[in-house]
Amino acid sequence: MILPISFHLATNSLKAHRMRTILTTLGVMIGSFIISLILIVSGGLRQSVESQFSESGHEDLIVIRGQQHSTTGMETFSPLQIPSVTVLTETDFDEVAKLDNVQKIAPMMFLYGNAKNDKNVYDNVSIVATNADFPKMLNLKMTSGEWFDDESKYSQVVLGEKLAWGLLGDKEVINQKVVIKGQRFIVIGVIKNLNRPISATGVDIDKTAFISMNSGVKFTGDVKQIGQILIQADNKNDAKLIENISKTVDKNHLDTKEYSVGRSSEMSGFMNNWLETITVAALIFAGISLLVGGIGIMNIMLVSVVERIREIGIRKAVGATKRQICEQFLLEALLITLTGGFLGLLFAYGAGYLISVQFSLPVVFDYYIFVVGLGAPLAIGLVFGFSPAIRASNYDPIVALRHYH
Amino acid sequence: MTDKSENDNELVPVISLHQVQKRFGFGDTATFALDGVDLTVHRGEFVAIMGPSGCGKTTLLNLIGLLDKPTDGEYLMSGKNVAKIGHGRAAKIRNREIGFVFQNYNLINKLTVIDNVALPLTYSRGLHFRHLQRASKVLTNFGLQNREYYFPYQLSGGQNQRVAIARALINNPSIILADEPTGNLDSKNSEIIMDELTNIHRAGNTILMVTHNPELLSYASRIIRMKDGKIDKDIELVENPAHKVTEQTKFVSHRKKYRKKGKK
Ligand SMILES: Nc1ncnc2c1ncn2[C@@H]1O[C@H](COP(=O)(O)OP(=O)(O)OP(=O)(O)O)[C@@H](O)[C@H]1O
Ligand SMILES: [Mg+2]
Repeated sequence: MILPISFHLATNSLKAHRMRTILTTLGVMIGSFIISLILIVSGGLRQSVESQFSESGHEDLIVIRGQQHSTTGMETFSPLQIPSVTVLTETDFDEVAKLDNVQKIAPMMFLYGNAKNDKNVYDNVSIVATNADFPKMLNLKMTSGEWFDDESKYSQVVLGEKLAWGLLGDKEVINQKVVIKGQRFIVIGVIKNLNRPISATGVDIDKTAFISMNSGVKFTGDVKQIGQILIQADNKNDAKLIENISKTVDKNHLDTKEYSVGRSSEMSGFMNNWLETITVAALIFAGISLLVGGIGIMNIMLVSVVERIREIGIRKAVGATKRQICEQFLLEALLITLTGGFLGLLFAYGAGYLISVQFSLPVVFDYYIFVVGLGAPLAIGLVFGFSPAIRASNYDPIVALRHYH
Repeated sequence: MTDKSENDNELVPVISLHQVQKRFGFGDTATFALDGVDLTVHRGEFVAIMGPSGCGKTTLLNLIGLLDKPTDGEYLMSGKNVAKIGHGRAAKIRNREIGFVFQNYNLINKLTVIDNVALPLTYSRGLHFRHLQRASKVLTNFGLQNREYYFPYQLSGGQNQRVAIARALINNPSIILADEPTGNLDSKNSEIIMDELTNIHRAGNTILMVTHNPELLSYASRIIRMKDGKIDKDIELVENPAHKVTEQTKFVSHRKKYRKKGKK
């Protein structure tokens, strides 16, 4: 191995074909950029999901969630899917509430609409009608005021802190009037920020308005259209309870596929599987783009070999061995791919940082990102640079020396 | 054979060919570019090879320089049989023992003059900057010190050929093979090149040069005429000069063995 000298020779000939080198490097860079970016963003997402569920701040809850028929066959028990189907009924809720071992239980009616006060209007605010068990189960803390009473006949609302700030600013918000979907509500409490956009509840609590069931049914013609029921068992052994819940709800529904029962802790696992699937799919596409870059390299190297047949002859005449010629051409390919890989990784971190800031995700610096971000281009360089390099090294020096352009 | 201090090694010919054949093609289309060549060249000889076009001169130089292998016959280089060695060893010997000078210079256009001269060194051991130092020294001997960072296309034909000779010399080879080195040059530049080759010869180097120009024969110590792949005439102009040369040229430093001998 005469690496330093091969390196010198390789850089020399790369410099001689500047434009070509830059374009080929760009091809590899794009592939590496996409791969690294996918890994960075998906890594950030995974970390964020894991931390949100592992530090959810509440006990493991049982979740009954109405869901749409899955046409893809994919399980849709996911925290990202906001339960919009309201197949669960008051009967379901009452019967489950009566089961043994149910310590706390909260229905969730998902309503969406505008919320406004004198100054600000918010469209598409998530509004949840629920009961007084809800804040207890989720261990919600109040920055001011209190949660509503289930029996209260007044139109009262509890706001997530971010929503409260957005609507009312930093002045005293308790007893302020807010108009929700055309109805006047009095703010009686503000929930302390959780900073947990993904959770078992299906909503970002910080940006949600909570009202009582009594208030909620005013929007639905006195029908409790329940999207989701949260249950806290009184002991840890809740497998039996889940079974009972399923049986109870099954009785009331002809179609047992229109809802699902699961644990909130399982959602992060599901979420990660789901993330993994998407990441793998994205990586396959990115891999294809890198492959295209590799074919570009092979193409350029083959052209370069043919252009330099005489040079190869000269080098052999002054004593270059097959291996040294092979090394030189392979090193050229590797220099291109490694430079492309490195730049791709660099830009991916730049873009990854911007994306992470935008979506408040952590920026992941995990070794596997560097291994893949540089290793994949390296492998591409080896694979696609090999055959041109071998071809170059196999030229008969006499034939090569007689070659004219 | 007058110098008493010479050792046995000096008696072993640098090149010894015995019944060497080179065939191109097979069957009906087979041509014998070399058809039974016997040739012995001693250290320090300057052999001019003449002959009509197609008689096998280039083929002979290629075989001697291990760029090609004989179809049949024996080739001893400094006593070692090299007729059937592999690619790798042939490359090593080319690197250390052979210096080629071609009619069309065969410099690499993308490399600077100094990189071209240092090229053989890059395929042997050592640090690159040392290689460049050595190349620079040799170029200075050829009066090209202010052309080191030029590219070959920025030089005249004569300058290019001097660069090529510098490259051939850089590794202190035991044989210099020149195939019509002045073929592309006018008479004035031819003369300069021949003066350089003469200097190198005086320094104790062994040179084989193919030429079509009878005027250049006067520089040689021996003239070989080839015809149809055979050696037709072999005329020794000067008695084997290797043993007469004294320390008289600036190229002494390139010949370690010679220097050792000369100083005793
Ligand atoms: N690679 C080859 N394949 C087939 N025939 C070849 C090959 N190389 C040389 N020959 C043949 O061998 C013979 C000798 O060629 P060579 O090049 O040695 O001649 P030369 O004496 O150098 O001629 P010139 O003075 O024109 O350079 C020619 O008949 C040529 O056609
Ligand atoms: Mg010839």
